[in-house]
Amino acid sequence: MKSRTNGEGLRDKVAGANPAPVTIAPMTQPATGATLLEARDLSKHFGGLRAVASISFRVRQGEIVGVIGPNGAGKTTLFALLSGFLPATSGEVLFEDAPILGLRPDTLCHLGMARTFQVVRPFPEMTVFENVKAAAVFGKQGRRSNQEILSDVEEVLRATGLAPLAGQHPPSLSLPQRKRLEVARALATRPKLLLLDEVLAGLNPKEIQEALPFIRSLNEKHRVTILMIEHNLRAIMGVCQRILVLNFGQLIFDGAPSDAVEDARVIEAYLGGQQHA
Amino acid sequence: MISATSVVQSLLSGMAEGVNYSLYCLGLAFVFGIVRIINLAHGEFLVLGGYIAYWLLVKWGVNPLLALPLAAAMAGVAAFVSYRVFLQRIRTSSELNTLILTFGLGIFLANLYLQLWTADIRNIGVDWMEQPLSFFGIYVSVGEILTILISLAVVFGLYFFLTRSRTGMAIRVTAIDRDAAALAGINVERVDLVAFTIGGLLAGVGGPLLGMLAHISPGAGLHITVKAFILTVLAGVGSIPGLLVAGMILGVGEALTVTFINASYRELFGFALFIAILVIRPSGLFGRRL
Repeated sequence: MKSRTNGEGLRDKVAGANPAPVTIAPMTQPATGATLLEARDLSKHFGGLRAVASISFRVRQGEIVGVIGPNGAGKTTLFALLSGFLPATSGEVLFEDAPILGLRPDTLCHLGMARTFQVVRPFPEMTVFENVKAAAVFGKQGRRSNQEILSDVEEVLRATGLAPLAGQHPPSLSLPQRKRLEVARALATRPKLLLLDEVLAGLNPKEIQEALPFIRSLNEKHRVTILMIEHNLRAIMGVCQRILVLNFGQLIFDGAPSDAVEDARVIEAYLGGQQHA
Repeated sequence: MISATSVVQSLLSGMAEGVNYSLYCLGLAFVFGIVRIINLAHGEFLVLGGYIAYWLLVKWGVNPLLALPLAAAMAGVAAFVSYRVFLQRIRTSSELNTLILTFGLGIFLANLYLQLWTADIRNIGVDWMEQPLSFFGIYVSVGEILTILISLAVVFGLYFFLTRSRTGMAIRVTAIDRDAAALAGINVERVDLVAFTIGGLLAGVGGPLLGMLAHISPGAGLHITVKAFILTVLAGVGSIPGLLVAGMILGVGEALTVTFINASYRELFGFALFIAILVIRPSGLFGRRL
């Protein structure tokens, strides 16, 4: 078992993992917009395993909300439920006050909800430009002229810094670039809500430093509300206004990142409980 | 004695036959590559197209070439109905289910044809198309030239449809990654239906050509399905230009077998090639890694 001295807490883990401190930008004022996404008593059982156990939360317009939790906490299952890839066992999910459980992924896309995959899945046979174009052609905006689509694609490529790579094929891109492509494709469908599944996983600290302002810019410049799963605690503290902490399928914390590191249940979930030390 | 002319003759007839093979198998290869259904009723859809042309010819004297659109449409309808009524229900479970279901569908259709058109072998050739043209001692019939042109037109037509049109793009993207395509806003279930129907249309075009160049019978479908399956594997699943090359290889190989060995070994060549490809290059000549 882990043995820990009393002084070593979650905050140290957050701050001490890397010598280069992440500069935590001053938060934009807490979002007070209308509720964009709401989960009510959402559950998913796999046989006897309660992967997601009656979770309820809201995401308001303009927020960046992080979802964290140890391995197997149910984060990815939660995303699969929200994005229509898995049917829920019970509960309700509302997007802009309309129930969305049971809708197909493409319908959700047209309503304004986009997601990325934890493992990047670009269309390898197509160039970066064509990858983004595919999303722009079939996304939320419906049928448009070729001219509109092209200018849209160019705008997304510029916003994601992929413009110089437009003619490349995904296998020749670096991992951070492929992650950006994944985001670019989601962005090209013009979402109101973007679900990011571990976009920072596999990036080194320097790459994460570069990615954080990018995620913030999506939120600020493109007015996209973001719900993101993240393993990297430091990163999520730096970019999210609010975090949800999952453990064994249950929501054990919902609040400001700075409060999470002081929360007894969160500390227990992450550090295995000091009382057992 | 084997002369240079007879070699050239068999090479050319083999290539001509090969181009038509590509058309015969286009529907199966397309559906396999896009929807991941091995449609064992493919040959029966093709034969349906042939019988439509046969009916038009014997009842109203319509030239089989003019019957092509209707033959394609009817086979397309058959595919559409098959998908909506049967395949859609079991689509998501396992690939083996669709294999068994389409096999059963094929048996049903073959027996239906037997009732409607008897077991007689039908040829729907037209006299003027069987006129041989001679170039330097090499013989080709007008019908062969026409069917090659039609086959090429259909193959390239499909290629341009896939690469240029909006629906074609949706189909291609879905074939690469279903989940990612759905996220991009594509209704992948509709794509399945459309692709399966197109597979039927393509099979339907092949029917009248088969009837003109050779013959059709109620049981001819299985033979076509098997050949189409060989070609699909040879080309590599999902490669449409590869089909043309694979068709030529099979056609020329068969023709050379007939010329140099024995006509009875003709079919053996295809299966030997099939096994060789599976052993040496399981992803096919032009297939992407699976």
